[in-house]
Amino acid sequence: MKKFFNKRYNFSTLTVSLLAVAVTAAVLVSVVSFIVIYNGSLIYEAETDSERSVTQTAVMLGNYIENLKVQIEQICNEIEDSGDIETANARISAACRLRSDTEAVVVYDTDGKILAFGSNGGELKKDLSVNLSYDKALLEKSGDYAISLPHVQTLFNNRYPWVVTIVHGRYFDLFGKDVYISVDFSFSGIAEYVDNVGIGKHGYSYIIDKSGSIVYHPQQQMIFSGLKTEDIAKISKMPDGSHFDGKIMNTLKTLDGSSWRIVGVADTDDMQAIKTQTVTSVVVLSVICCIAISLLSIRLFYNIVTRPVSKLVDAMQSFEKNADSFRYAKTDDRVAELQILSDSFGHMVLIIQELMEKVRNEEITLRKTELKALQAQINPHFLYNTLDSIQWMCEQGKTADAVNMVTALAKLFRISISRGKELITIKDEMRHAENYLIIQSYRYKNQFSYEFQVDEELTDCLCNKITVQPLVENAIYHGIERMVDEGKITIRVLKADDGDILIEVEDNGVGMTEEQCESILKKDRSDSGGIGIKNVNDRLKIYFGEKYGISIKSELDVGTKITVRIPKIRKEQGNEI
Amino acid sequence: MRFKRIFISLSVILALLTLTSCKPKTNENKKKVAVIVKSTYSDFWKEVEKGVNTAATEYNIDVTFEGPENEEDYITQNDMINRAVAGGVNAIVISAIDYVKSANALDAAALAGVKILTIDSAVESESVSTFIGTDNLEAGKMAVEAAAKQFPPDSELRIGILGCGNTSKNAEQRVEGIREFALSRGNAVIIDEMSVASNLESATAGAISMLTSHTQINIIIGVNEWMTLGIGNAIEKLGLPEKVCAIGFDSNVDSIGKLETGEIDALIVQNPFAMGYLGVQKATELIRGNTVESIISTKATAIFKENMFEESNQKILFQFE
Repeated sequence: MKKFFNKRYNFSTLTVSLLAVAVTAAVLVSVVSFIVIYNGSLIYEAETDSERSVTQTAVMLGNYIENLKVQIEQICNEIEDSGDIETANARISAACRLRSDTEAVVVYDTDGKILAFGSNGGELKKDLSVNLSYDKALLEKSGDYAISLPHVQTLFNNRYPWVVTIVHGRYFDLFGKDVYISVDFSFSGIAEYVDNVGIGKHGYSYIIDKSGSIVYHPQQQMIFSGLKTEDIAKISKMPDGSHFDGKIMNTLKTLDGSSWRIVGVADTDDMQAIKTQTVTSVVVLSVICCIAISLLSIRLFYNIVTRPVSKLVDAMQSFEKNADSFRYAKTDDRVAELQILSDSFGHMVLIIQELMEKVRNEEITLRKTELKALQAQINPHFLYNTLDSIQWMCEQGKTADAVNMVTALAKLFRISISRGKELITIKDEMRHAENYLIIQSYRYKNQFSYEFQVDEELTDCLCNKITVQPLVENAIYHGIERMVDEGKITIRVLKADDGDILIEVEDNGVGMTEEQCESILKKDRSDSGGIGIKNVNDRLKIYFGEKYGISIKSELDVGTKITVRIPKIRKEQGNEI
Repeated sequence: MRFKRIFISLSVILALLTLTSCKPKTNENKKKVAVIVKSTYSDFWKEVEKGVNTAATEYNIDVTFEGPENEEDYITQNDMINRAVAGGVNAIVISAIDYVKSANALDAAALAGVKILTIDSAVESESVSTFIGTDNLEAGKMAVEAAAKQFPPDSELRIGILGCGNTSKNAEQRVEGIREFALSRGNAVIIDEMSVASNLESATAGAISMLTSHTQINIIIGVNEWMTLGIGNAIEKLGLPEKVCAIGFDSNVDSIGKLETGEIDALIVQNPFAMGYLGVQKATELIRGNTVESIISTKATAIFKENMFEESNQKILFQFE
């Protein structure tokens, strides 16, 4: 966990994941709340649905039973109006035929003896030992009217319809005593009433008796065949009203004035199944919408925040890598803070680059000043040695040589000073070198000879002051001085293939190892005064750039060749520098 | 760029989601089930038809219910199979007249992708997914037991069996059940076994001839509805209700009447409504790709005159309009 929080994320990942988390949370919350609300409404809906249906069934059944009672009343009137039993039987049969759902009417006395009988066609069986329409207990129970459970009618031969028996007890003049009128009604009549009341799409209602047996069920046959069961034992104990057990809604209602109860069953699972498709499509649709919206907003956020930030980060990184040539293109951001950040960065880049330029220029100026001061210096050893030589010459009476030497020395200094200019013509520089060589050739008599090979075209071109002299000095001290034979120094000025000027100082002295070559380009001269080869090289590079400078080629016992590369600058151009 | 890739893949997922969410909205075709039975006339088959229709309504299935004119006509049954396959049914629920001779037609149907279910009478074929019906061996045994109850424990049971041709598996199994159980009892012998065409005239004639030529028979068992009625008729005609104990299968008003009046002593009542209902219900499950047990037994009950009007037996014996 700690690792997770300590990890570093990049901006776009963070944005995307935060948004994803937010969207997921939003979708989850909405789906869950939707389902909760939906379930609540489903149960409520199931309850109202089944209560309404059960009430409807109750009203219809009530009407139906009222209707039957009216019919019984009519039959009673028929009996009452009959003079004798024969007529009564005929009238009852006629009444039965009038209504197809009246299967039979039987009048029993209190002992169960049949007093009168009518049916819509059937002949009474001879052996009525089994008469399911006659239930003594039911008859005695009936103060006024009583309804039996559905049963098979067994009054006729080879005819066994399912009926319910309604019994009505009263006194008749015709029989001269209390009798029971028992009417068998075809069960299909009730069935029609109950079958037509559905609850929702899959709900249904059925009738139970107070004793807990099913009176009628729309799927009666499935129940008879054992393919379907209802938990009557449990349901019959429930009071009237709706009972929800988490899955099935049972609504009970007792039929007024009877022992029948109507049970409405609504399976919320079924209702859910019906509506699941709608719900699913709604949920899927909303999830899709959420994702689409979040995608768009991610895209938008990416465009106006993430991308500019990444760009800024990229820009900073490339600025870090290459501060000199970096150019910051101005951006047009839609987020104010980012615009400020970007603008500030742009300003900062410019300021930093200006500062860097300034520092660099200052450094160069400093270096130049330093070098100038160095140039102006006269190597005191050299001067002392030269003057010593002149003195010696004078003492020896070699006046001519002394004069030559003094002249050379004078010229040397004049060029050295040369009115503070840095660049002088190659001609002057050669003269300077020559004067130096003249002086040195007196000191190292017969130890070396020298030669100038100067391309005349180039004598008017400019070069740095005191470039060649240090090289010659190096050739004498490190090349010639230690030689036994006479050395030779050759100084060439020539054109390079690419138009630059090459100045070569070659000697055939003892040569240098590679380490020595490198060290003289790196080390400032340790001995007092004078300009070292490193200084010359630095100066060239400061003035003309990295491309220019000194290269050394040397071989032990063969000689050394130092090459100076400078750009070709004519005198007229030279003023600009 | 990474972000672009994420964006594109998310968009693709979104598009797929949209597509899949559209899929369930396309309406499923109503599945078709052909129910082919031995005949459409007897009460037994009418009950089967009620079961079929109940299940068809409940599961929203297109059903056809047909059977040949007479219960011997396996050729017409095979034609019906072929026609149903040509009509593109998803499943065939069959009660085969012939245990063997419909196998080829059913195999061909199964090859065409039709699910095959048998009810009441099985077929000798690998393509049948399930059998739904009475355990007929057990029912045969039940018939003998019902008969034995009518006699004192040690009296000799001399049995005559009236069969309806040996081609139908259920009748064959009942006969087998009767035979097996009779043999396992020390006091029972089978005097005669006769097989006649499955209609009322042949059954009546067969029963009369059996009872007149083997007067020692004291138990006669008819293996289906027609045989039962034939036996009832014969006993009535020959005036033997006291002497001969008659056991039959299935119920209709006539046989119930004869049970009440004593010509028939017991009826082994099957559950034809459940066969029809379960036939279509299991067919639906097979079409949906579910598996179904290979044998589903429906209940058979022995009903006697004494208990025929008991509340639970009323529900079994008497048809509900």
